[in-house]
Amino acid sequence: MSNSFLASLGVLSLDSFGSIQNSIHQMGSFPDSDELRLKELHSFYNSELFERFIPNMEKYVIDHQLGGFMTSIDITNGRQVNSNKSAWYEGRGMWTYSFLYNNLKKNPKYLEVARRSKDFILKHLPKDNKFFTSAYDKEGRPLTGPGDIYSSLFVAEGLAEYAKASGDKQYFVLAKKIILACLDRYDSPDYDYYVAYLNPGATKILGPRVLGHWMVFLRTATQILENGPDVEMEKLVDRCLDACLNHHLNPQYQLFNEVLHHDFTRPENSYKDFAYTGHGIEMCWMLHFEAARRKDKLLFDRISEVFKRHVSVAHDHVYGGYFRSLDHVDNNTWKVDKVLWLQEEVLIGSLFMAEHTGDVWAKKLFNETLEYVRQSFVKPGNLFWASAGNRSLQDYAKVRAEHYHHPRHLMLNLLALKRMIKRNGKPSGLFG
Amino acid sequence: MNTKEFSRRKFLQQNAWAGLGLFGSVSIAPSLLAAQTITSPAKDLKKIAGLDFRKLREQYRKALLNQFIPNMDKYVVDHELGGFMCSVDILTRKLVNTNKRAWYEGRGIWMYSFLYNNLDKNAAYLEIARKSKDFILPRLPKDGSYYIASFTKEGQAIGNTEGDIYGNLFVAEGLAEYAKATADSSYFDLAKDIVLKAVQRYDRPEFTYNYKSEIRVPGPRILGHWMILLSVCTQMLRQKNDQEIRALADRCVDAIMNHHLNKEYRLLNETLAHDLNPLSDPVSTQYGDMGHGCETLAFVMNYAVLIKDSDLFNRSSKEFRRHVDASWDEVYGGYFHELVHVNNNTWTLNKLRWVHEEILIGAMILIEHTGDEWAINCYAKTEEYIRKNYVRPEYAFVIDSGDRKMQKHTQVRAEHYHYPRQLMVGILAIDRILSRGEKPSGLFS
Repeated sequence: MSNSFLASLGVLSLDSFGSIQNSIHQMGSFPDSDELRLKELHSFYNSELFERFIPNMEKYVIDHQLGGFMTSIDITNGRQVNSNKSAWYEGRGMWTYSFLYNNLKKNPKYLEVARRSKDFILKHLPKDNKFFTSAYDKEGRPLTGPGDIYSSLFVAEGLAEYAKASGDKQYFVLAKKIILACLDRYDSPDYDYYVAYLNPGATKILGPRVLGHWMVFLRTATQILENGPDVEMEKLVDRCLDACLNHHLNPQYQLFNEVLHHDFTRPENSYKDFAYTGHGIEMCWMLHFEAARRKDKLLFDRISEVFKRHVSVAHDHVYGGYFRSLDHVDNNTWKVDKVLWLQEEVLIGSLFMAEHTGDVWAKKLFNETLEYVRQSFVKPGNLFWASAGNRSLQDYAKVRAEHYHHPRHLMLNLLALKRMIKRNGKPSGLFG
Repeated sequence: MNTKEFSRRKFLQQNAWAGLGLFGSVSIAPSLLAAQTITSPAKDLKKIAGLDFRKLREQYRKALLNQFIPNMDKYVVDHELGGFMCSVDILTRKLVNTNKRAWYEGRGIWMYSFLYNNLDKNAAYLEIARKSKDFILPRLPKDGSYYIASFTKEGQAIGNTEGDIYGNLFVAEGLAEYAKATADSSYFDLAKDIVLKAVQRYDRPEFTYNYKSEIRVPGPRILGHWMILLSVCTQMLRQKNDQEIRALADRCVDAIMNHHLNKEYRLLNETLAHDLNPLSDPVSTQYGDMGHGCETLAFVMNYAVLIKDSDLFNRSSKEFRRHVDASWDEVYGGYFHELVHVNNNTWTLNKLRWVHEEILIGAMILIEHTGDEWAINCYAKTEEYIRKNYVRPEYAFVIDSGDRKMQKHTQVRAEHYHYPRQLMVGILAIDRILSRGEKPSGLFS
């Protein structure tokens, strides 16, 4: 990163809208280093979270009157493109603000944002086993029919975290109920879900097993388990691990296949060699977190190998960063756009590995990836980081304030950095 | 830049992936830092447990002198009429045809002369080179045009179409090396004459070449042409400081490093316009012959060693690393050779052995002169990949190419240039490393 670019990032200024534009803490550039500059990193993350993301969410995204999140804003100027809301984004936003409150700052304003989102979306809690409606207008009138499983799972994830923040256990019970209802539907042989992110026209599979589903189940259930034992959640987590490591992980090329048949056999159609590397990498840090929760070194080491494998395969050697979708492994067919969330999953996974093992590869990976993200997704003058773009990020999506993967990355890594600083940079010793 | 002492444990850790069996034969080296300049020099190469130089040298020597050369003698060399008949079924050991080519004569003259000059002063080797030279020289066109591509066993031209520049350049390369072997400078002069005439033809605006494009234009500038010119020039300059050859070598380096290296995505384009500007053709502008790219950059590094130019060495080695890392098949191992469309990330998926050998040669240059950690990793994983996938004891010669997983491979060709070159150059590099007590040369320190 050039000095002039760095200098431009280091200035805190107000734009013509009176919003905070550039709050990035000035930080050196160490893309090829295996040294983690913990205090500088902590300042950077802290500044990005509390001086850029939160104030701009407050000003442009949160509906302070009716509750909820309106994320369709132009990140270059704050202009609202539409005021729609969605179950996905309410669940995610509820989680973000509750997690922030629980782990980083007990500011009642954060809890209030989560509460209002909860009140907004729970009015639409389906009475039967259906999933939440996908989209609503600002006032909460449905704009679509029932959404997908993620609509309900993200609401459940948000409710579980909100239960912890508010101390109100009814939301914990409700979260579990939603999760188990989702699981029940997912386990039905006629479960209907179309994995549209391979290619339009890919043959639909009835009752598919989907890596992305296990991923969100796993994350939601393990967060619940962090609060104490729960037999049903333990069982669900065990199932997720088994599905991922014994079925989705392709034994021939050691990459996760995104889609399997209901009985876990591999499809013979275009899904056969489909490895959605974005989910694969995201899944790895969630598995790492679970291995750490269990203090299971063998599992942790195994996941480290799988994580390294996915990161190496998905790396774009020409323009940097990581590709999200290997549409056909043997034909080497990739989607070449770039999404912020995947880069941030790499940052979470690599810092977590570094924290617990001191792994040099992980440290280098973290430094290199953070440098890449800062150069490519953090556009000077923008209110939020770009959520996606073309391969070189010369063109990028301007309409979306991403309020889940991004703050999750900032918060999880900020917490990791705090722990690492406390230990003077030494590995956690969790595994001896 | 970090200066690190290598440790046995660290190297073994980095290469432990191969031993885990998780990823088949392929080690996963930390190659994520391709775009950066990373040089981690080892001060003492003895400490690198993964590369046992003595063992490797012995392995190379046996492969060259106990297997390759006897089989060349038995199945490929035309002892009667001179020349090389390379269309051998490597499993059945039967000749599929008896044709000869200017390319292969030049390469064969070079290979036997180099072997004689550097490893074994066996008169039989020189005799094979001489007979090949006598076979091909009478067929050199007098008008400066390029050799007809193929000939019958007896030397009759097959067809009357002019071949490409490479036929002439390989013959020149062979003759220059033969001149050294025989101490007959007339062959050096003839080699120089062939090279300069080949360039004259290349410099004509109406020069044609079948490069990859939607619509071809005359007078293209081709990376592969600069590559072979630079290789020949570097070898000739090692024999004699010739100003014209030096100027040509510098011209090649300028074309490669300042023009073919694409400014947007920092990979070498195979083709440019005659004035060295980028083409507007949608196919050519996105096309990278990555095999040529890796080989070319290794040649530039080699030239930088000759002229002791540390800046050129650093620039070319940085780009070499980038090309090698970009070409590595992260899923199945080995290197892809052709990036058909850079921005779409579209690769041709088959695997060519020679690309791997040129990468070994380039990595060895880095190891010898800097002890570069990346190069050691690269060498170890590439060496392992080649031995596992291309070398089979039941075959008379190494496999030339195959599909992505090397489950199906070609069977007809006795490859007698890249393969023995890597073995010979490798042996010589190891000898120099051992003679320095297994320490980097320090040429650029």
